[in-house]
Amino acid sequence: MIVLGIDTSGYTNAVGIVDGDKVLADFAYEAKMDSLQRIVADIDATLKDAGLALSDVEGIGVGLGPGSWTGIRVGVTVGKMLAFASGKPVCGVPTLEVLAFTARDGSRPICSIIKVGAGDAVYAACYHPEGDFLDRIGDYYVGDVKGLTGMLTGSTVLAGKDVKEYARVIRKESGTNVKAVEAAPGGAVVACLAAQRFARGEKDDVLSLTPLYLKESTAKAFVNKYKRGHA
Amino acid sequence: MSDHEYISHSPSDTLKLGEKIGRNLMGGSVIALIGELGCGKTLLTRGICAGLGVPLRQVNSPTFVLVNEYRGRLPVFHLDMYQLGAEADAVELGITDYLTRAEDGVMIIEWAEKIIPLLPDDLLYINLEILSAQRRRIVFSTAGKHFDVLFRELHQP
Amino acid sequence: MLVLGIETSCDETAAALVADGKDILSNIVATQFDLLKKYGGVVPEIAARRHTELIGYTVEEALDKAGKTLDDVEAVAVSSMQGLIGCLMVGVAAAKSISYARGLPLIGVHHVEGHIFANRLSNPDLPFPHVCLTVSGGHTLLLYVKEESSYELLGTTLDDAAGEAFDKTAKFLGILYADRNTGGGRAIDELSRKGDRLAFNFPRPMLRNKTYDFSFSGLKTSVINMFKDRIAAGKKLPLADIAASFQEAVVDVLVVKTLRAADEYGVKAVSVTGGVSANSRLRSAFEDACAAKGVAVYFPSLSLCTDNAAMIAAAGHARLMRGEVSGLRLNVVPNSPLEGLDERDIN
Repeated sequence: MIVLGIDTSGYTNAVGIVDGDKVLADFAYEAKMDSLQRIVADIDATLKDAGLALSDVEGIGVGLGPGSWTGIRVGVTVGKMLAFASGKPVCGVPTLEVLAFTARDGSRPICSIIKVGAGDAVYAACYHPEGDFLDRIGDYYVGDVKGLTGMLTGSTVLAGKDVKEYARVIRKESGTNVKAVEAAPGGAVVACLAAQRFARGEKDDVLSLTPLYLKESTAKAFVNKYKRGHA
Repeated sequence: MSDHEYISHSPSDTLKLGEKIGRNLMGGSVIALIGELGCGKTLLTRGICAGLGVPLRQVNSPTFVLVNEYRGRLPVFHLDMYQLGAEADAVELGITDYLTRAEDGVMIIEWAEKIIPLLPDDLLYINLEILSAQRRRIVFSTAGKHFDVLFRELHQP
Repeated sequence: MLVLGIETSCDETAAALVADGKDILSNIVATQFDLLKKYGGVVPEIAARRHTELIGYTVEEALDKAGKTLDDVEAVAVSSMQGLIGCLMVGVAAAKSISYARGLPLIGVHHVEGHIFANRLSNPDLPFPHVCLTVSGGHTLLLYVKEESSYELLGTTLDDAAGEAFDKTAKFLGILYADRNTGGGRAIDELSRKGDRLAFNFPRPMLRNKTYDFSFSGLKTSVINMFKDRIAAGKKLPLADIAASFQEAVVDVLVVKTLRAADEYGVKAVSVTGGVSANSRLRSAFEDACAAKGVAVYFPSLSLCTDNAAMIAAAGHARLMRGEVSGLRLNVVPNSPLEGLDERDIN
């Protein structure tokens, strides 16, 4: 199945195409200020690079975030409206899962991390490989890196951007040595994870697809920080 | 730690001071405006925005919309936290995104007291105190070095 | 030619199907009014989140209501200029996607131009040239419209838009109804019908000023000061009279300046459009004043006064007919002068 995957949650327009196991194209375009302006052109360029047209695409995968709320909205709106307008199925994939899949290493558990904008807080989630799939363990986490230590063991792989620094903090905090693997949201991985879901007969409702903001958890984390700041 | 005190004798003084500030700001500037109703926070903001090349007409108090965005030589995020009830409301209105985007721009926050712990440590505090109908005492203070250029300019006569 | 219009510049998610720039096959507006209650204004981030939730449903409903599918749509027009940046982005993202998937021409439209076209949609016989007053929560503009899509900006507000003045005054007077979908303008309009518009003589700002510019924040301050003085003096506060007199001051300025422009430019037609053009006192005042001068006055139907996508489709259609197409790199421009004008900034 030919699947187009996009993710715009991390100040980059990530666009990729897979056909079953094969990656046909995978690009990440730097897009801090102009994600919306270029996203459709980026999708078109990626399709052309793979020698394809949108009509050849059989399903669309969309990174849901967390990350930049403005950024995620671009990708999610484009993904779902492309699906709506072309009559293809769409599947949302959490960006933390995309990072975890990118960094997976045998049967080691993976903890993926995305920075919450400016400041120390991070979004995180832990995953366990089950064959070709990933199962999320526990809830999404929002808070500072130190708070993650309870969720990690010596065999955990830490996945995300600048994770070597987080690995240092964790080692200092708890003595646990985690393996740090740099990972960024890639379009081909989004497509791959969406393809897995399509193969299982799953898909999302096109019109109701919305970003994964983790708004309530972010609010709780900030209230805690606020209270600490005022202590 | 830098500080500076300025006495403004009129609204037009305050506006001019704002322009001077705006001309000397770099990207990644977060400014907390502190002072009671009517002390001139929005007026000063208009001056700062003018100094950044934002048409005066566009700059209004975002009391009811919480955030206004402008584009001068840098993007400007103008916040008014007056109506903020709970701290969690700041997240609701998207403060995490705005703070990231302000790394390349300027964030000016009226009634900033409500969200200080969420802001970077090297922010600029501008405290406005009403001395009389026309006059204001305006006190600047900041930790860190981010506003060194501005302070050098302010200390010039 | 069937055009799909999309509008998300503020807090209304809207989609519409318009044929040949004049026949409205559907006009769907999903209002996010409940969001306003907490803060009293449109918080950009909150509105943008709602647009993302609603845009797909709104487009689908517009198609269903018109009895059409995307196969029938021949072009996509979207508000891309003037509005809240995060909100505009959702509409443009959706429009670009539909345009790309279907190979349809895409036209970015200036939100205010949409309001100007709203009146022609309602009144196909609105002649050129005419003077157009666009009054809403976000805009107060007086334009000389020589021919279709040719605008000369005559005047704008130096501070609050007229609709903003209504909203702020209504809020101050405490007459916003928490339980109903009523904005400040409508609240004042309704209350004023029970009041005496001559009870108080509020200043008419800039009335005698030679320019066509407007200013409403001084008027708002007068109302607030008068209110406080009366409280201090232990006098009664007849809200209906205050509302009616405030409204009269705004209406007076709008009517006098617009007619002065019509006179100076020698036009026989006046178009009054935008959300505030739904105001009943504004309509009757314009009707009387225009009748006295032998000038025809035109208002959009009520559903076309407030933000909607049919007007965007109509404006887009006109641009498309002149060969103006935007392309897939269309960007949002939150503050932009209306094309064809000089460098004056538009509120």
